[in-house]
This record gives sequence, structure tokens and C-alpha cells, in this order.
Amino acid sequence: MSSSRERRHRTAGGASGLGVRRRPIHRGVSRVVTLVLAVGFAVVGVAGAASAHHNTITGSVVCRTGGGWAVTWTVVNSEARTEWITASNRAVVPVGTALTSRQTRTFSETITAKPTSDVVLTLKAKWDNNTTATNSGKVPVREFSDGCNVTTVEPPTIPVVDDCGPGNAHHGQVPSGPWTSTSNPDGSVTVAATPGHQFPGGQTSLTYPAPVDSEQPCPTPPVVAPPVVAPPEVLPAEARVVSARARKIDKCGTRGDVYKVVKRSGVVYTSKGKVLRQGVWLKAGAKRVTVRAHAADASYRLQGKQSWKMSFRTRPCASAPEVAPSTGSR
Amino acid sequence: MTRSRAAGIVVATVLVTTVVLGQGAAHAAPDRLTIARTSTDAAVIRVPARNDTLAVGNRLRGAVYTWSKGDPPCDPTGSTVYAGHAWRAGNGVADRWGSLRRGDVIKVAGCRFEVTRREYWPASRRMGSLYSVAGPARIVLVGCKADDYSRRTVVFARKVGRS
Repeated sequence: MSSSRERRHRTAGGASGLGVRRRPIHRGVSRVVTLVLAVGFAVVGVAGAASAHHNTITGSVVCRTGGGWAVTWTVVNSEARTEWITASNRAVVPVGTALTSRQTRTFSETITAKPTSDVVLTLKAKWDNNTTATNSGKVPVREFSDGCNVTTVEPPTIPVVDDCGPGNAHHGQVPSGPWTSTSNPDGSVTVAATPGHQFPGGQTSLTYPAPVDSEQPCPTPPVVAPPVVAPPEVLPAEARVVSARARKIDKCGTRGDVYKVVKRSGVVYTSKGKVLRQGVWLKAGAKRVTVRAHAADASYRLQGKQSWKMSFRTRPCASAPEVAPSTGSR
Repeated sequence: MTRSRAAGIVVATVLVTTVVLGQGAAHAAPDRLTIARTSTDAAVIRVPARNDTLAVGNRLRGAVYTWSKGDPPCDPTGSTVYAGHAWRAGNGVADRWGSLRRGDVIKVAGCRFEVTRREYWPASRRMGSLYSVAGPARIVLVGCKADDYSRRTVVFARKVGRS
């Protein structure tokens, strides 16, 4: 370079014929200065090229709707040439991501658990001139606010109690949940989410307006009919099973003919429509006697024979000896 | 038929036969009439009536006689007559019936009777009414008066139940 400049000086001097011949010592100094400057420029040029290829990475964090934190990373390509990400420590900026000439790209990341240390994004990039650089950016852990860890819950459904009659509609009991409720003087109810919770839309409190009364008239009180006193119905399964029995003694003649119905509770015996006395011998008084047994009431059920047709013979008795036996001698 | 089964049938037959014969024997054996107060313990012998009187046997002791066509003693109705000999020498079954009092117990044919009254009838008094098949259940003891054969000791006892 210096040689060509020197040649130009010569050519100019020689052409005009008015050139001043310089002394040799000045030429040596000039060469040294030129060399120093050349080396300086070279060094500065190399260093400037190396420091120019980089990504500027910055991060910010805000509370995320529904709980957690939203981290936004901004990556700025320093060069007027395209670069590709060749390594990344966070999935939000995948390997292969391209940034064109001096492009600024943002990447959003959601963090649900509060980090315990600074969150760092480190990217290694390669430019189309094969220059590579590794840069990092971070979000300090202190910027992750505790208030961001919020859970969104569905607001409760408060029942409306509207009894018959006008102007008596009101809210019922508020279901339990991560909220507190307050009844307002106008009949409305305000439900406030407890810390760490919110309602959809980021709301922390909801107000339920006072319910509108349907003003449904109350029915006329029914006429209470006096209870009907009916005899207790006894189911067949509860009936006590009893058996009836009758017997006869048919003696000679008719005077000694008797019959008897066995004494049984729950049984009624009849003969010719008359109720018979139980447990005693009754005179037959006729050749034929029919005895029927009936259950005394519905709580009894007869089992076995229930009708007896008794016939009594009328053969005469033998003539009894009238004379006293001879028992005083033999 | 197996041997055990045959043996079972034989045993059952024997048992049934025993029961049947036992009942028959009980019926066949004469009833006994006992009176604790008079130490009476006599067999009841059924006899017919002849010449309008009870054809009693000649056993002085240990036997009383009843009409074979008379009313059974344990019936709910009717009257049964038992006749016994009394002997002046003190050897008759009915010698002491005159000492029976009201409430004394007489057992016969499995039933208990209590004396209701004692009477002395003349031998000529007709006794047909004592054999009634109707009326209250009772027995009547008839025997000669030991010291007067022209009279009869007649003891009435009503049935009070099974003995």
C-alpha cells in the first residue's frame, strides 16, 4: 500500500517536473509510521469483526392470566446477515431458529412454578459467514412476584330461594369454596376469591344481583279431613292358625247322648245358628247334630275340619236290675 | 331288602305289637276299685243281670261286681253301680263301706270320685234308677250292711277327674 502511494508521488512529481526531493531519513520515518498504522488498523479490524457478531438477549416477566408467570425473551441479531441458533438451553428458542439481518425476535415462555434462581437463556448462534457466538440473558428471580401464582376457579352457583308469596326471594347458602361471601343490604351477594385464586377473566370478586321474586301465590291450605278410624287390617300372614275339634258320646237311648266342642280361643262353634258353649258336654237332644266352627275374627284362621255331622242311635237301653243284689251272704 | 332294614321292620313290628297288646291287656284286665279309707282294693268284675238283679259272684274279698251293660264309670254322664259283699264275720269287701264319709276318695277305671253321701236302703228298695246312663257322672257302691243284711249300704260319689 505504501509502495503504491509512494509511486503515485513519484509519478506526480515526475510529471510536473516541480517535485521536491525528500531526504532519506524522512522516508524511513514515513515507512515506520505507515507500518504501525497498518498493523493498528489490522488489529482493530480483526477485533471489530469478532465483537460485532452477537445476540443481545433480554428477558422480562409478568404475571400470567390464570396463574404463573409469562416470560418474554427478546433476541436481537447484531449483524446484517442471517444467523441460526445452533444450541439453546431453553425450549422456547429451539435449535434452528433463524434471525435475519438485525432482526429482533421475541419468544414467550410460561413458567408455572416459581424458580429458585435467575432464569437464564443461553443461545449459541452461527452466522452465514460461519462466525459463531454464544450469548446469554437472564431474568432475576426476584422479578417473579409471589402474587402471580393464582388459580382460576369457576364462580359458585348460588341457589335462589323463592318461596310462595311476594317479595321473599333471596339467595340461599353460598357453596363452600376458595372464596368468601358477603350479603349486601340490597339483597345482592358479593363473592371474593381468596388469595391465590381468581375467577375467569382475572376477576377476584363477583357480585350476584338480588334475585327477582316470582311472586307465585301460595296455595290455599288443604282441608284436612278427619282421620278415618278403621279397624286394623290383619294380613293373612299375621292370622293365627287354630284348629277346631268336636266329639260325641252315643249311649243307649237318647238321654245320655252328649257332644262337646273343644275349647279353643279364636274359634266359635255353632249348631243351628246358636253359639255353643265350649269345653263342656252338651246334650244332643236329637238324632243328628251338626256343629260348625268359625274363626272368631280376622286375626284367626281355621285349619282342618270345620264341620261335624253327628248322628246318635236311639237303640233302647237294657232294663236295669231293680232288685238289690244279694251281697250279704253267699 | 337289606338285613338292617329287615331288622328294623321286625323291631318296629314288635314294638307296635307290644303297644297294641298292652292296650288290649289293659282293657282285658279287670279294673280295680280302691278306697284308701277302708283299705279296699278289689277287682271289678262285670256280671250280667238275672232275675232283675245283679248276678254277683261269691267272692267276699278282693272283688266288686258291676253290670256288664251298665254305664262306663268315666263317662261324662251316667251312674255306675259297684256291688260288694259284706260279711258279718268281718271278712267282706264292703264291711267298712258304712264308715265312708263325705270327701273320701274312690278310684276306679282311672278316674277319681269323691263321696257325696252315704245312705242305708232297705233291701226291698228298687235300684234300677242307680244304673242311669244320663245325669251327672257318678258311681254308687252297694253292699249289705254288715250287721243287718236286710239293709243296703249305698254310697254315692261324684266324679272329680282323672286319677
